[in-house]
Amino acid sequence: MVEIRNMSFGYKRKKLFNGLELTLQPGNIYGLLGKNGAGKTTLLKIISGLRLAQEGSCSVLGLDPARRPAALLEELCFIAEELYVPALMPAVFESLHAPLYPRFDHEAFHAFLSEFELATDKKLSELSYGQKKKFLIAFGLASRCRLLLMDEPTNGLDIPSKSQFRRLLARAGGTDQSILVSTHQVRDMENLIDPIIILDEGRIIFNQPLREVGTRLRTAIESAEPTDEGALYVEKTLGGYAVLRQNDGGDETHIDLETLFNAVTAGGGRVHALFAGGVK
Amino acid sequence: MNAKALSELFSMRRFGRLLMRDLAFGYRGLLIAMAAVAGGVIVVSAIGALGMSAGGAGVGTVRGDAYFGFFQNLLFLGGFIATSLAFREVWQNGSGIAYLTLPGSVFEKFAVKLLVTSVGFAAGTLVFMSATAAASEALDRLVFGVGHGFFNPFTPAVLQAVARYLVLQSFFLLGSIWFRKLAFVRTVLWIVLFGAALAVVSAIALRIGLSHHLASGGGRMGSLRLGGWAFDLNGTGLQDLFTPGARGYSGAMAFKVAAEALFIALAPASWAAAYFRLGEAEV
Repeated sequence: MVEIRNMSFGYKRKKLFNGLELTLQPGNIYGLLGKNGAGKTTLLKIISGLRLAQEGSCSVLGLDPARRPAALLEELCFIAEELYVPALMPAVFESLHAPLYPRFDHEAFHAFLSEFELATDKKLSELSYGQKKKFLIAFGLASRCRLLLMDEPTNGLDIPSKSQFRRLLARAGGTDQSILVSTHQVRDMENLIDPIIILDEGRIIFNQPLREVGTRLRTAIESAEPTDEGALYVEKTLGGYAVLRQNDGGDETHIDLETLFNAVTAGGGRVHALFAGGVK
Repeated sequence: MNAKALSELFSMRRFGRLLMRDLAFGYRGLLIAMAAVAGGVIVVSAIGALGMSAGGAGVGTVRGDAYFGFFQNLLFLGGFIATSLAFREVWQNGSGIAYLTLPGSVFEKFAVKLLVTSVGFAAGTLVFMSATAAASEALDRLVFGVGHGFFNPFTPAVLQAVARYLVLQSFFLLGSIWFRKLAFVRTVLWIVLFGAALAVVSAIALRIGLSHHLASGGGRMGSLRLGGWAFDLNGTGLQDLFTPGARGYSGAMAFKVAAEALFIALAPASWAAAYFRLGEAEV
């Protein structure tokens, strides 16, 4: 689906990626995590052809996104954090844009809109930020594009909308479809994103399916600060200490993504060692 | 180029959809602008008719071709401004992502903008001006008994203006995708700078090409002085040098043809540059 090889990219004063490698397979909802400025949005833009890789290669569905071929754009939908909707009625927007996507599902689109409780009698430009976002998410999901890119999709959504979003996303992903979600809101995306990709200092430092992570690691809140060697990562949190340990039991455990992210980005050499060979 | 590659480059279905989208996005602004211009034309024309009537013009008097001036202003000024805004959505926050990821080839997206701002705008202006002039003229004749004459969209002057517009708008289309902000102003500035540079180059070429007619320092009586240079025209005027049969005529004709060819060639060159610039636009 997506193949990035030895890709380099930088802005005028900052080198962002240097030899980045990434492969995305169909049938997954990937979670792209990273600190501010790590390059998550830029990576999404390179995949969608909005930024051009300076070295290496990037291939999406076997095509070069930098050339922005129509065959690729028909199968790619990018819901950016910076929203734009024209001053049109939703039905007019649908009639103008849906025909550009060969597999657009009108029935599903209207079902998504009603699930999001979106009014269709107002111009899109008159909707709130969250409503605009919900409209574009509904449109993106209904486009049935094979690659759906979402940048901070839950930002600006109210609590019920986040639940609705999770439900829709869980239902929408097809076996030939890949969804790449860039987010800081890991709690919003728990039980949804899998595998987890962590981007740090221009490299993918972690790229593992949650099942793999859950069988090798476990997270817990402990009341006392652990001093034993078994704690791979410890951070003080409300009500105790969030601890990441090796999972010796072998059963899959629930992983707190925030603790995992902090452990990996804090330079968790021991965490990486556990996944040796799997980390790119 | 095989059929698949061709359909990847251009599909009538996608082109039509993108064109519909463009028109739907811009129709509101267009309607407002048209209403404002139509109102202005009618008012100015009515004031002129009132003046004619008050000045003693008899009932039924039809004077001049006032609408041609309106047409020129609308075509050139309005067209250049509209063209400068053609690719604005590429550079605006959020809309650039939406536009560049729209399913359509770069060629289709460019062709839509080119069609709308060149032939589309010119044809629309002709129709609009004809209709507005007809309405205005009918009103003037009805109220004041005098008029300015209907607007004829098929006169040589009108068609020549359209041809000039089609060439000149290409610079503004290039400016629209080249400059992220203030595309109109920056394009005008660049045209002025380009014109000045061309004038300097032409002057130098003229200086070299006509060197045997030029004498540095003082010139004799009857010669033409340009700064420190003096044309030695042997008592003839500069115009006489380029009249048919004169020794400078063939050179002048060659220069004229070359200048016109260059002027016309600038349009496809600007369109090509705009197309490639759109292809590599990053947001």
